Amino acid sequence: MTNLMTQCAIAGIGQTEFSTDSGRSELRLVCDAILAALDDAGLTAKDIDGIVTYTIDNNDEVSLMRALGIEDLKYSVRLPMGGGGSAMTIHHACAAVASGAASTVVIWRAMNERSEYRFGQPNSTPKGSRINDMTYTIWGIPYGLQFPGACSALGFQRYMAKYGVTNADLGHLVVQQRAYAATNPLARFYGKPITLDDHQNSKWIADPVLRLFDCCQESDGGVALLVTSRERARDLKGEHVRILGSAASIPYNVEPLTPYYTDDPMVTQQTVNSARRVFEAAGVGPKDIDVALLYDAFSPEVVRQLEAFGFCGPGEALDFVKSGAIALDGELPLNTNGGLIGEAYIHGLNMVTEGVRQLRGVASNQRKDAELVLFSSGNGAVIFAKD
Amino acid sequence: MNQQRQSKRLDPMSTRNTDWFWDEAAEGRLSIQKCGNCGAMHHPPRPICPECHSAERVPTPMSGRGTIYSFMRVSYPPPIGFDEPPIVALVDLEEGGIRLITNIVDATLEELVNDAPVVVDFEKTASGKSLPVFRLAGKAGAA
Repeated sequence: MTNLMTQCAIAGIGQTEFSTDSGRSELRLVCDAILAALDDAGLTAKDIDGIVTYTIDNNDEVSLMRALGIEDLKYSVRLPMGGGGSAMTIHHACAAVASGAASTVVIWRAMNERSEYRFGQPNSTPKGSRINDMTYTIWGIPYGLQFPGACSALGFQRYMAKYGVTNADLGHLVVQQRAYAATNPLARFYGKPITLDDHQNSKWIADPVLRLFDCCQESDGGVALLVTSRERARDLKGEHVRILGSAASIPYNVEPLTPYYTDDPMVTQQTVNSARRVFEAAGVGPKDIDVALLYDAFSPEVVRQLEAFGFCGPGEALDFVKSGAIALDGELPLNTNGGLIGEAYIHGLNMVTEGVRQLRGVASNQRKDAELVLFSSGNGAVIFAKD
Repeated sequence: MNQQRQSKRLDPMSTRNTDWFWDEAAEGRLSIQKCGNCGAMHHPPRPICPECHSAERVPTPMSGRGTIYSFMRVSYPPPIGFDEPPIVALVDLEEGGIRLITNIVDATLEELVNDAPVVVDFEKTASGKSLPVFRLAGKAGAA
Protein backbone atom coordinates (compact mmCIF):
# COMPACT_ATOMS: atom_id res chain seq x y z
CA MET A 1 0.00 0.00 0.00
CA THR A 2 1.31 3.43 -0.88
CA ASN A 3 2.25 5.61 2.07
CA LEU A 4 0.06 8.63 1.34
CA MET A 5 2.34 10.79 3.51
CA THR A 6 4.88 10.57 0.66
CA GLN A 7 2.33 11.62 -1.96
CA CYS A 8 2.02 15.31 -1.06
CA ALA A 9 3.53 18.38 -2.61
CA ILE A 10 4.26 22.06 -2.10
CA ALA A 11 2.14 23.55 -4.85
CA GLY A 12 2.94 27.18 -4.23
CA ILE A 13 5.12 29.48 -2.16
CA GLY A 14 4.65 33.11 -1.25
CA GLN A 15 6.40 35.72 0.82
CA THR A 16 6.57 39.40 1.57
CA GLU A 17 9.74 41.45 1.51
CA PHE A 18 11.91 40.95 4.60
CA SER A 19 12.71 44.19 6.43
CA THR A 20 13.17 45.99 9.73
CA ASP A 21 9.82 47.75 9.36
CA SER A 22 7.09 46.29 7.20
CA GLY A 23 4.85 49.34 7.62
CA ARG A 24 1.72 47.19 7.85
CA SER A 25 -0.08 44.87 10.23
CA GLU A 26 0.95 41.28 10.84
CA LEU A 27 -2.44 40.21 9.48
CA ARG A 28 -1.75 42.10 6.28
CA LEU A 29 1.63 40.34 6.04
CA VAL A 30 -0.09 36.95 6.22
CA CYS A 31 -2.58 37.99 3.54
CA ASP A 32 0.17 39.22 1.24
CA ALA A 33 2.18 36.02 1.68
CA ILE A 34 -0.82 33.74 1.14
CA LEU A 35 -2.01 35.69 -1.92
CA ALA A 36 1.46 35.33 -3.42
CA ALA A 37 1.42 31.58 -2.73
CA LEU A 38 -2.07 31.21 -4.26
CA ASP A 39 -0.94 33.11 -7.32
CA ASP A 40 2.16 30.91 -7.59
CA ALA A 41 0.02 27.77 -7.46
CA GLY A 42 -2.84 29.06 -9.58
CA LEU A 43 -5.39 28.66 -6.78
CA THR A 44 -7.81 31.04 -5.07
CA ALA A 45 -8.59 31.69 -1.41
CA LYS A 46 -11.82 29.72 -1.84
CA ASP A 47 -9.74 26.60 -2.50
CA ILE A 48 -8.18 26.72 0.99
CA ASP A 49 -9.81 24.22 3.34
CA GLY A 50 -7.01 23.67 5.88
CA ILE A 51 -4.58 25.90 7.74
CA VAL A 52 -1.51 25.30 9.87
CA THR A 53 0.57 27.79 11.82
CA TYR A 54 2.60 28.15 15.02
CA THR A 55 1.04 28.45 18.47
CA ILE A 56 2.90 31.73 18.89
CA ASP A 57 1.75 33.39 15.66
CA ASN A 58 -0.29 36.45 16.70
CA ASN A 59 -2.83 36.24 13.89
CA ASP A 60 -6.13 34.53 14.50
CA GLU A 61 -7.95 32.21 12.16
CA VAL A 62 -11.24 34.12 11.99
CA SER A 63 -9.63 37.44 11.11
CA LEU A 64 -7.55 35.75 8.45
CA MET A 65 -10.62 34.10 6.92
CA ARG A 66 -12.47 37.43 6.99
CA ALA A 67 -9.64 39.15 5.19
CA LEU A 68 -9.03 36.53 2.52
CA GLY A 69 -12.61 35.33 2.06
CA ILE A 70 -11.84 31.73 3.03
CA GLU A 71 -15.23 30.02 3.10
CA ASP A 72 -14.93 27.01 5.38
CA LEU A 73 -12.04 25.27 7.09
CA LYS A 74 -12.14 21.54 7.58
CA TYR A 75 -8.78 21.40 9.29
CA SER A 76 -6.92 23.85 11.52
CA VAL A 77 -3.96 23.25 13.78
CA ARG A 78 -1.28 25.22 15.60
CA LEU A 79 2.05 23.66 16.48
CA PRO A 80 4.31 24.07 19.51
CA MET A 81 8.11 24.35 19.95
CA GLY A 82 8.45 27.80 18.35
CA GLY A 83 10.77 27.77 15.35
CA GLY A 84 11.87 24.26 16.31
CA GLY A 85 8.44 23.17 15.16
CA SER A 86 8.59 24.91 11.78
CA ALA A 87 9.23 21.70 9.82
CA MET A 88 6.42 20.05 11.79
CA THR A 89 3.96 22.37 10.05
CA ILE A 90 4.62 20.54 6.77
CA HIS A 91 4.37 17.14 8.45
CA HIS A 92 0.92 18.07 9.76
CA ALA A 93 -0.23 19.58 6.47
CA CYS A 94 0.72 16.29 4.80
CA ALA A 95 -1.15 14.35 7.47
CA ALA A 96 -4.27 16.40 6.70
CA VAL A 97 -3.97 15.91 2.95
CA ALA A 98 -2.99 12.22 3.15
CA SER A 99 -5.89 11.42 5.47
CA GLY A 100 -8.39 13.35 3.41
CA ALA A 101 -9.13 15.74 6.27
CA ALA A 102 -8.36 18.61 3.92
CA SER A 103 -7.30 18.99 0.29
CA THR A 104 -5.53 22.35 0.18
CA VAL A 105 -3.66 23.40 3.28
CA VAL A 106 -1.96 26.74 3.73
CA ILE A 107 0.91 27.11 6.21
CA TRP A 108 1.91 30.57 7.34
CA ARG A 109 4.16 32.51 9.68
CA ALA A 110 4.19 36.30 9.72
CA MET A 111 5.46 38.80 12.21
CA ASN A 112 6.63 42.33 12.86
CA GLU A 113 9.15 41.03 15.36
CA ARG A 114 11.54 43.91 14.67
CA SER A 115 9.28 46.96 14.34
CA GLU A 116 6.50 46.08 16.79
CA TYR A 117 8.33 44.04 19.42
CA ARG A 118 11.79 42.59 19.87
CA PHE A 119 11.59 38.83 19.72
CA GLY A 120 15.21 38.23 20.68
CA GLN A 121 15.67 40.77 23.47
CA PRO A 122 15.80 40.18 27.23
CA ASN A 123 12.44 39.52 28.80
CA SER A 124 11.41 39.91 32.39
CA THR A 125 8.04 38.34 31.75
CA PRO A 126 7.03 35.39 29.62
CA LYS A 127 6.04 35.98 26.01
CA GLY A 128 2.30 35.85 25.75
CA SER A 129 -0.10 36.39 28.61
CA ARG A 130 0.12 33.03 30.33
CA ILE A 131 2.75 31.97 32.84
CA ASN A 132 3.59 28.34 32.22
CA ASP A 133 6.25 26.04 33.60
CA MET A 134 8.69 26.34 30.72
CA THR A 135 12.35 26.15 31.66
CA TYR A 136 13.25 29.57 30.35
CA THR A 137 10.30 31.32 31.94
CA ILE A 138 10.64 29.97 35.45
CA TRP A 139 14.28 28.92 35.82
CA GLY A 140 16.11 31.18 33.39
CA ILE A 141 14.80 34.71 33.83
CA PRO A 142 15.92 35.36 37.46
CA TYR A 143 19.44 34.20 36.57
CA GLY A 144 19.85 36.41 33.51
CA LEU A 145 18.99 33.72 30.98
CA GLN A 146 16.46 36.01 29.38
CA PHE A 147 16.70 35.77 25.61
CA PRO A 148 16.89 32.97 23.04
CA GLY A 149 20.53 33.49 22.03
CA ALA A 150 21.75 32.99 25.58
CA CYS A 151 19.60 29.86 25.90
CA SER A 152 21.18 28.39 22.77
CA ALA A 153 24.70 29.20 23.94
CA LEU A 154 24.57 27.79 27.47
CA GLY A 155 24.78 24.07 26.76
CA PHE A 156 27.05 24.57 23.76
CA GLN A 157 29.97 25.84 25.86
CA ARG A 158 30.58 22.26 26.99
CA TYR A 159 30.66 21.05 23.39
CA MET A 160 33.28 23.68 22.62
CA ALA A 161 35.43 22.69 25.59
CA LYS A 162 35.08 18.99 24.85
CA TYR A 163 36.03 19.23 21.18
CA GLY A 164 38.44 22.16 21.44
CA VAL A 165 36.53 24.48 19.15
CA THR A 166 36.16 28.24 19.58
CA ASN A 167 33.81 30.97 18.52
CA ALA A 168 36.15 31.68 15.58
CA ASP A 169 35.37 28.18 14.30
CA LEU A 170 31.68 29.11 14.30
CA GLY A 171 32.76 32.20 12.38
CA HIS A 172 33.65 30.13 9.30
CA LEU A 173 30.06 28.93 9.14
CA VAL A 174 28.66 32.43 9.48
CA VAL A 175 31.03 33.87 6.85
CA GLN A 176 29.81 31.27 4.32
CA GLN A 177 26.16 31.95 5.12
CA ARG A 178 26.65 35.69 4.80
CA ALA A 179 28.38 35.10 1.46
CA TYR A 180 25.25 33.29 0.28
CA ALA A 181 23.06 36.13 1.60
CA ALA A 182 25.24 38.68 -0.16
CA THR A 183 24.22 37.27 -3.55
CA ASN A 184 20.55 36.68 -2.68
CA PRO A 185 18.45 39.78 -3.48
CA LEU A 186 15.71 38.58 -1.12
CA ALA A 187 18.07 38.66 1.86
CA ARG A 188 18.28 41.32 4.54
CA PHE A 189 22.05 41.13 4.12
CA TYR A 190 22.09 41.22 0.32
CA GLY A 191 25.33 42.83 -0.82
CA LYS A 192 26.78 42.68 2.70
CA PRO A 193 29.26 39.82 3.03
CA ILE A 194 31.47 39.67 6.12
CA THR A 195 35.00 38.47 6.82
CA LEU A 196 36.13 36.29 9.68
CA ASP A 197 37.61 39.45 11.24
CA ASP A 198 34.21 41.16 11.06
CA HIS A 199 32.72 38.15 12.81
CA GLN A 200 35.40 38.18 15.49
CA ASN A 201 34.99 41.92 15.99
CA SER A 202 31.24 41.70 16.50
CA LYS A 203 30.25 42.07 20.11
CA TRP A 204 29.94 39.23 22.55
CA ILE A 205 26.41 38.07 23.27
CA ALA A 206 27.45 35.18 25.52
CA ASP A 207 31.21 34.81 25.97
CA PRO A 208 32.85 32.36 25.02
CA VAL A 209 30.14 30.95 22.75
CA LEU A 210 28.13 33.49 20.82
CA ARG A 211 28.80 36.82 19.12
CA LEU A 212 26.31 39.15 17.48
CA PHE A 213 27.01 37.79 13.99
CA ASP A 214 26.23 34.26 15.19
CA CYS A 215 22.62 35.36 15.67
CA CYS A 216 19.77 35.73 13.24
CA GLN A 217 18.42 39.25 13.12
CA GLU A 218 14.82 39.96 14.03
CA SER A 219 12.90 40.66 10.84
CA ASP A 220 9.47 41.80 9.73
CA GLY A 221 7.88 39.63 7.08
CA GLY A 222 5.68 36.71 6.22
CA VAL A 223 5.91 33.41 4.35
CA ALA A 224 3.14 31.08 3.14
CA LEU A 225 3.23 27.58 1.67
CA LEU A 226 0.46 25.63 -0.05
CA VAL A 227 0.35 21.88 0.46
CA THR A 228 -1.83 19.55 -1.57
CA SER A 229 -1.60 16.09 -3.10
CA ARG A 230 1.00 15.39 -5.80
CA GLU A 231 -1.76 14.28 -8.07
CA ARG A 232 -3.60 17.57 -7.77
CA ALA A 233 -0.41 19.60 -7.85
CA ARG A 234 0.45 18.18 -11.27
CA ASP A 235 -2.64 19.87 -12.70
CA LEU A 236 -1.88 23.27 -11.17
CA LYS A 237 -0.03 26.18 -12.68
CA GLY A 238 2.95 26.33 -10.34
CA GLU A 239 5.93 24.01 -10.54
CA HIS A 240 5.38 21.86 -7.48
CA VAL A 241 7.96 20.00 -5.44
CA ARG A 242 7.29 16.64 -3.88
CA ILE A 243 7.36 16.18 -0.13
CA LEU A 244 9.23 12.89 -0.19
CA GLY A 245 9.25 12.45 3.56
CA SER A 246 8.45 14.36 6.71
CA ALA A 247 8.91 13.72 10.41
CA ALA A 248 8.43 15.19 13.85
CA SER A 249 9.77 14.52 17.32
CA ILE A 250 9.09 15.98 20.74
CA PRO A 251 11.06 13.72 23.12
CA TYR A 252 10.54 13.54 26.88
CA ASN A 253 12.18 16.35 28.81
CA VAL A 254 13.62 18.15 25.76
CA GLU A 255 12.84 21.80 25.04
CA PRO A 256 14.19 23.23 21.81
CA LEU A 257 16.39 26.05 23.14
CA THR A 258 16.85 24.84 26.69
CA PRO A 259 17.48 21.07 26.46
CA TYR A 260 19.43 21.12 29.69
CA TYR A 261 17.86 18.38 31.76
CA THR A 262 18.73 15.27 29.79
CA ASP A 263 21.74 13.13 30.72
CA ASP A 264 23.70 14.41 27.75
CA PRO A 265 22.44 17.73 26.34
CA MET A 266 25.06 17.47 23.62
CA VAL A 267 22.84 14.82 22.03
CA THR A 268 19.92 16.74 20.55
CA GLN A 269 17.44 13.91 20.79
CA GLN A 270 14.64 15.69 18.93
CA THR A 271 16.91 16.12 15.92
CA VAL A 272 18.34 12.60 16.11
CA ASN A 273 14.78 11.24 16.10
CA SER A 274 13.61 13.53 13.30
CA ALA A 275 16.65 12.59 11.20
CA ARG A 276 16.10 8.88 11.59
CA ARG A 277 12.39 9.17 10.82
CA VAL A 278 12.70 11.47 7.83
CA PHE A 279 15.41 9.37 6.15
CA GLU A 280 13.30 6.28 6.75
CA ALA A 281 10.16 7.94 5.39
CA ALA A 282 11.93 9.22 2.28
CA GLY A 283 14.01 6.10 1.71
CA VAL A 284 17.25 8.06 1.35
CA GLY A 285 20.31 8.84 3.48
CA PRO A 286 22.62 11.76 4.28
CA LYS A 287 24.79 11.18 1.21
CA ASP A 288 21.79 11.63 -1.09
CA ILE A 289 21.03 15.18 0.04
CA ASP A 290 22.00 17.90 -2.46
CA VAL A 291 21.20 20.96 -0.34
CA ALA A 292 20.65 21.17 3.43
CA LEU A 293 18.61 23.92 5.02
CA LEU A 294 19.21 23.71 8.76
CA TYR A 295 17.43 25.99 11.21
CA ASP A 296 20.03 28.53 12.28
CA ALA A 297 18.53 31.00 14.71
CA PHE A 298 22.04 30.81 16.22
CA SER A 299 25.13 29.25 14.67
CA PRO A 300 25.54 26.45 17.27
CA GLU A 301 22.19 25.02 16.15
CA VAL A 302 23.69 24.21 12.75
CA VAL A 303 26.52 22.27 14.38
CA ARG A 304 24.03 20.23 16.37
CA GLN A 305 21.98 19.37 13.28
CA LEU A 306 24.94 18.54 11.03
CA GLU A 307 25.97 15.91 13.56
CA ALA A 308 22.47 14.65 14.39
CA PHE A 309 21.76 14.01 10.70
CA GLY A 310 25.00 12.11 10.28
CA PHE A 311 26.56 14.52 7.81
CA CYS A 312 29.59 14.24 10.07
CA GLY A 313 30.54 12.58 13.34
CA PRO A 314 30.31 14.02 16.86
CA GLY A 315 32.65 16.97 17.25
CA GLU A 316 33.42 17.13 13.52
CA ALA A 317 30.87 19.65 12.23
CA LEU A 318 33.09 22.71 12.29
CA ASP A 319 35.97 20.89 10.59
CA PHE A 320 33.44 19.81 7.97
CA VAL A 321 32.46 23.47 7.51
CA LYS A 322 36.09 24.62 7.29
CA SER A 323 36.84 21.98 4.66
CA GLY A 324 34.61 23.89 2.24
CA ALA A 325 31.90 21.25 2.30
CA ILE A 326 29.06 23.74 2.69
CA ALA A 327 30.02 25.95 -0.28
CA LEU A 328 28.02 25.73 -3.49
CA ASP A 329 30.60 23.38 -5.04
CA GLY A 330 31.06 21.42 -1.83
CA GLU A 331 29.52 18.10 -0.87
CA LEU A 332 26.68 19.74 1.06
CA PRO A 333 25.71 23.30 0.15
CA LEU A 334 24.11 24.59 3.34
CA ASN A 335 21.63 27.40 3.98
CA THR A 336 22.11 28.67 0.45
CA ASN A 337 19.74 31.63 0.93
CA GLY A 338 22.00 32.85 3.75
CA GLY A 339 19.89 31.03 6.29
CA LEU A 340 17.96 32.72 9.04
CA ILE A 341 21.24 34.47 9.91
CA GLY A 342 21.69 35.95 6.46
CA GLU A 343 18.31 36.09 4.71
CA ALA A 344 15.82 36.85 7.50
CA TYR A 345 14.36 35.28 10.59
CA ILE A 346 10.88 34.29 9.49
CA HIS A 347 10.97 31.55 12.06
CA GLY A 348 12.11 28.81 9.66
CA LEU A 349 9.55 29.01 6.86
CA ASN A 350 11.83 31.06 4.61
CA MET A 351 14.10 28.01 4.50
CA VAL A 352 11.28 26.14 2.74
CA THR A 353 10.85 28.79 0.06
CA GLU A 354 14.60 28.45 -0.59
CA GLY A 355 14.26 24.68 -0.82
CA VAL A 356 11.49 25.01 -3.40
CA ARG A 357 13.55 27.51 -5.40
CA GLN A 358 16.51 25.11 -5.40
CA LEU A 359 14.36 22.31 -6.81
CA ARG A 360 12.79 24.63 -9.37
CA GLY A 361 16.29 25.66 -10.42
CA VAL A 362 15.69 29.35 -9.71
CA ALA A 363 17.64 29.94 -6.49
CA SER A 364 20.07 32.86 -6.39
CA ASN A 365 22.76 30.44 -5.28
CA GLN A 366 21.66 27.48 -7.35
CA ARG A 367 23.07 24.04 -6.68
CA LYS A 368 23.48 22.47 -10.09
CA ASP A 369 20.99 19.63 -10.66
CA ALA A 370 19.59 19.74 -7.13
CA GLU A 371 17.14 16.87 -6.72
CA LEU A 372 16.84 16.33 -2.98
CA VAL A 373 16.68 19.08 -0.37
CA LEU A 374 16.57 18.61 3.39
CA PHE A 375 14.94 21.11 5.73
CA SER A 376 15.38 20.57 9.46
CA SER A 377 14.13 22.65 12.35
CA GLY A 378 15.18 20.32 15.15
CA ASN A 379 11.75 19.07 16.20
CA GLY A 380 10.91 18.22 12.61
CA ALA A 381 12.44 17.56 9.23
CA VAL A 382 11.29 17.36 5.61
CA ILE A 383 12.93 16.04 2.48
CA PHE A 384 11.77 17.70 -0.73
CA ALA A 385 12.29 16.18 -4.14
CA LYS A 386 12.04 17.27 -7.73
CA ASP A 387 8.95 15.58 -9.17
CA MET B 1 24.08 35.35 52.43
CA ASN B 2 25.74 37.62 49.92
CA GLN B 3 23.98 40.92 50.40
CA GLN B 4 26.49 43.77 50.29
CA ARG B 5 24.42 46.02 48.05
CA GLN B 6 20.79 46.45 47.10
CA SER B 7 19.86 43.67 44.70
CA LYS B 8 18.15 44.46 41.41
CA ARG B 9 17.50 40.81 40.65
CA LEU B 10 14.13 39.84 39.24
CA ASP B 11 11.84 37.62 41.26
CA PRO B 12 11.13 34.15 39.94
CA MET B 13 7.69 33.76 38.37
CA SER B 14 5.16 32.36 40.75
CA THR B 15 3.36 29.16 39.76
CA ARG B 16 1.50 26.57 41.80
CA ASN B 17 3.92 23.89 40.70
CA THR B 18 7.15 25.68 41.52
CA ASP B 19 6.62 28.14 44.39
CA TRP B 20 7.78 25.66 47.06
CA PHE B 21 11.28 25.60 45.51
CA TRP B 22 11.73 29.32 46.21
CA ASP B 23 10.08 29.02 49.64
CA GLU B 24 12.74 26.46 50.53
CA ALA B 25 15.45 28.81 49.24
CA ALA B 26 14.03 31.56 51.50
CA GLU B 27 14.78 29.22 54.43
CA GLY B 28 18.34 28.72 53.18
CA ARG B 29 17.70 25.28 51.70
CA LEU B 30 18.37 24.04 48.21
CA SER B 31 15.66 21.41 47.93
CA ILE B 32 14.68 19.11 45.10
CA GLN B 33 11.36 17.37 44.46
CA LYS B 34 11.35 13.79 45.74
CA CYS B 35 8.38 11.52 45.21
CA GLY B 36 6.76 10.54 48.52
CA ASN B 37 5.65 7.26 46.99
CA CYS B 38 8.51 5.86 44.88
CA GLY B 39 11.38 8.12 45.98
CA ALA B 40 12.35 9.31 42.49
CA MET B 41 13.92 12.77 42.38
CA HIS B 42 13.19 15.21 39.60
CA HIS B 43 14.03 18.75 38.63
CA PRO B 44 12.46 21.02 37.54
CA PRO B 45 9.42 20.49 39.78
CA ARG B 46 6.22 19.09 38.34
CA PRO B 47 2.78 18.46 39.81
CA ILE B 48 3.10 14.67 39.87
CA CYS B 49 5.88 12.09 39.69
CA PRO B 50 6.56 10.99 36.09
CA GLU B 51 7.54 7.49 37.29
CA CYS B 52 4.53 6.53 39.47
CA HIS B 53 2.18 9.53 39.05
CA SER B 54 1.92 10.13 42.78
CA ALA B 55 1.09 13.73 43.72
CA GLU B 56 2.96 13.40 47.01
CA ARG B 57 5.90 15.75 46.61
CA VAL B 58 8.53 16.00 49.30
CA PRO B 59 10.96 18.94 49.12
CA THR B 60 14.27 17.28 49.97
CA PRO B 61 17.35 19.33 50.98
CA MET B 62 20.51 18.71 48.97
CA SER B 63 24.11 19.00 50.18
CA GLY B 64 24.61 22.14 48.08
CA ARG B 65 27.74 20.74 46.46
CA GLY B 66 28.07 20.17 42.74
CA THR B 67 30.15 20.69 39.62
CA ILE B 68 29.90 23.07 36.68
CA TYR B 69 28.45 21.40 33.59
CA SER B 70 28.71 24.48 31.38
CA PHE B 71 28.97 28.25 31.75
CA MET B 72 29.01 31.58 29.92
CA ARG B 73 28.97 35.29 30.61
CA VAL B 74 25.85 36.98 29.23
CA SER B 75 26.81 40.48 28.20
CA TYR B 76 24.61 41.78 25.39
CA PRO B 77 21.81 42.74 25.37
CA PRO B 78 22.31 43.37 29.12
CA PRO B 79 20.13 40.99 31.12
CA ILE B 80 17.57 42.70 33.35
CA GLY B 81 18.44 42.80 37.06
CA PHE B 82 22.24 42.89 36.91
CA ASP B 83 24.86 45.64 37.20
CA GLU B 84 27.54 43.48 35.63
CA PRO B 85 27.18 40.74 33.01
CA PRO B 86 26.23 37.65 35.02
CA ILE B 87 27.86 34.24 34.69
CA VAL B 88 25.06 31.84 33.89
CA ALA B 89 25.86 28.17 34.40
CA LEU B 90 24.44 24.69 34.51
CA VAL B 91 25.44 22.94 37.73
CA ASP B 92 25.16 19.19 38.37
CA LEU B 93 24.44 18.38 42.02
CA GLU B 94 26.58 15.74 43.70
CA GLU B 95 23.47 13.68 44.52
CA GLY B 96 23.34 12.85 40.80
CA GLY B 97 20.72 13.27 38.10
CA ILE B 98 19.87 16.86 39.02
CA ARG B 99 21.00 19.85 36.95
CA LEU B 100 20.23 23.48 37.80
CA ILE B 101 20.32 26.72 35.85
CA THR B 102 22.12 29.14 38.16
CA ASN B 103 24.72 31.87 38.50
CA ILE B 104 28.34 31.45 39.51
CA VAL B 105 28.96 34.49 41.71
CA ASP B 106 32.22 36.17 42.75
CA ALA B 107 34.14 34.55 39.92
CA THR B 108 35.54 35.73 36.61
CA LEU B 109 34.99 33.86 33.37
CA GLU B 110 38.73 33.11 33.26
CA GLU B 111 38.56 31.28 36.60
CA LEU B 112 35.94 28.82 35.40
CA VAL B 113 36.41 25.39 33.89
CA ASN B 114 33.95 22.60 33.20
CA ASP B 115 33.52 20.18 36.10
CA ALA B 116 34.95 22.64 38.66
CA PRO B 117 33.48 22.01 42.15
CA VAL B 118 31.02 24.61 43.42
CA VAL B 119 28.95 25.18 46.55
CA VAL B 120 25.56 26.77 46.95
CA ASP B 121 24.87 30.20 48.38
CA PHE B 122 21.77 32.36 48.28
CA GLU B 123 21.19 35.82 46.85
CA LYS B 124 18.21 38.09 47.38
CA THR B 125 16.00 39.49 44.66
CA ALA B 126 14.88 43.13 44.66
CA SER B 127 11.79 42.20 46.67
CA GLY B 128 13.67 39.99 49.14
CA LYS B 129 13.06 36.52 47.73
CA SER B 130 16.01 34.10 47.69
CA LEU B 131 17.72 32.47 44.73
CA PRO B 132 20.17 29.57 45.03
CA VAL B 133 23.46 30.55 43.36
CA PHE B 134 26.89 28.92 43.43
CA ARG B 135 30.48 29.93 44.08
CA LEU B 136 33.73 28.12 43.38
CA ALA B 137 34.53 25.68 46.19
CA GLY B 138 37.62 26.66 48.13
CA LYS B 139 37.42 30.33 47.21
CA ALA B 140 37.25 32.83 50.10
CA GLY B 141 33.63 33.21 51.11
CA ALA B 142 32.64 29.73 49.93
CA ALA B 143 31.03 27.53 52.54
